[in-house]
Amino acid sequence: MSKNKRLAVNIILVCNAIIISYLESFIPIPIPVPGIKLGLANIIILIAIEFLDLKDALFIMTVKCLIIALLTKGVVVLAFSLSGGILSVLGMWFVYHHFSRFFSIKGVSIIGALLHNTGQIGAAFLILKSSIIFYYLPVLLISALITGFITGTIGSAVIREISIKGILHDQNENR
Amino acid sequence: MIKMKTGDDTNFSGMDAGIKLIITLFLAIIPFFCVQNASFIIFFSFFALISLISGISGKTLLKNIAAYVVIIILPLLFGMAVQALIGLFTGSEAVQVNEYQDLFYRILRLFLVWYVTSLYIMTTPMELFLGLLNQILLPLQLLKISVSGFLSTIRFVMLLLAEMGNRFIDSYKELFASYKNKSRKGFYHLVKDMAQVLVSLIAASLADTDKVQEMIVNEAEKGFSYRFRCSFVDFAAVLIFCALMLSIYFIERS
Repeated sequence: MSKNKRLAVNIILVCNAIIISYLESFIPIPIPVPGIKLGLANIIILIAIEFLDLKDALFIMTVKCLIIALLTKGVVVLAFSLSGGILSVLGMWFVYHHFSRFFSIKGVSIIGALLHNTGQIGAAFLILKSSIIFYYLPVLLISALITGFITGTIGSAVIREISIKGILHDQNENR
Repeated sequence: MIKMKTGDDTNFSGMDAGIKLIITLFLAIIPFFCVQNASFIIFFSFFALISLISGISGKTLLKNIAAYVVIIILPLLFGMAVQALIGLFTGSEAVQVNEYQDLFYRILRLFLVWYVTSLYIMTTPMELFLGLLNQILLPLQLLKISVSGFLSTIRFVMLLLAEMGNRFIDSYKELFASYKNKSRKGFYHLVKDMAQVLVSLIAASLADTDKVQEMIVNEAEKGFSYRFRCSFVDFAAVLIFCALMLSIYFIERS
């Protein structure tokens, strides 16, 4: 696959991730907790982990975080989302490619959600230099279990459908 | 969704992105050296005035503030509440007033950093901002880091979002509408329905790969458009900035 085609696929996936991320704010969460959302955009990262390279998955996450921070949340928030995002991609990739016998896509998604929230709190600790922020970690971790499971369930169904329809077939062959 | 937030239509969009960036950086760093409350009041008043004059949508600004509150303030308040509760039950003095005071000023300074950088982003056309970054980060090209390539990708994503965003959003809105309507059918059906719609949308968007590839080739030839230019507005902005810095200096000295 040509470099431009790979870039085009990545750009389209980034756009999908941004739009899903934007629209999921309209989905009401049964028990609203500040700072918690479903993280449906993670489905796109799961797709990248399944069908593309680690480099592509990291690229999609980085560009997504950058653009969302620039357009909606502000530069300060970028540090939080980027640290959580990159940690979650690395963790999901490692678990998916080295422990796939023990973890399904749902498990990988839960690990990603846990790492994402941990990374965010870690960044907050470094920036604010206050351990008080760690009291919020259990809340985030419990919610990550639930949201990671939901996202993973939808993600595994999406990945199955994509495999059946052979949508990203040529990308998978080029890995 | 995208267009209104890329700083194309505010009163400061015509200002030079470079001069504005230097002023922004100073305004983001200087609060970390301030200790007087009056300095913070002046900074807040100045930023509020800039927000008003620039014509930034109040809704956009409030959304940004909400993100800051939800991501930074609320978890901290929660942590403080838990710490206070622990102190109450254990009888120990878990709450250190000095610690909270330091934290308060750190949050305040971070808020100012967030505010001034948000003002910059909201009043600077993305094309100019990316062009400026391309020039600033030029030395990294010598280390064989493809800065231009990365910035071009950001531009492609913005272009694609502007071009295809509405179509994508309409399709996704249909998805979420169907999600709402089918919410009585149980989790299994919801997941199945959502997965199917997501797959069809991702497949539909990937069908545009050739079109996007064409766009990449066409846009790559254009390059970035930033050129330094100093207008009367830039000159006035620098003067106002100097006056602000002087007043902060005298307040801090006193």
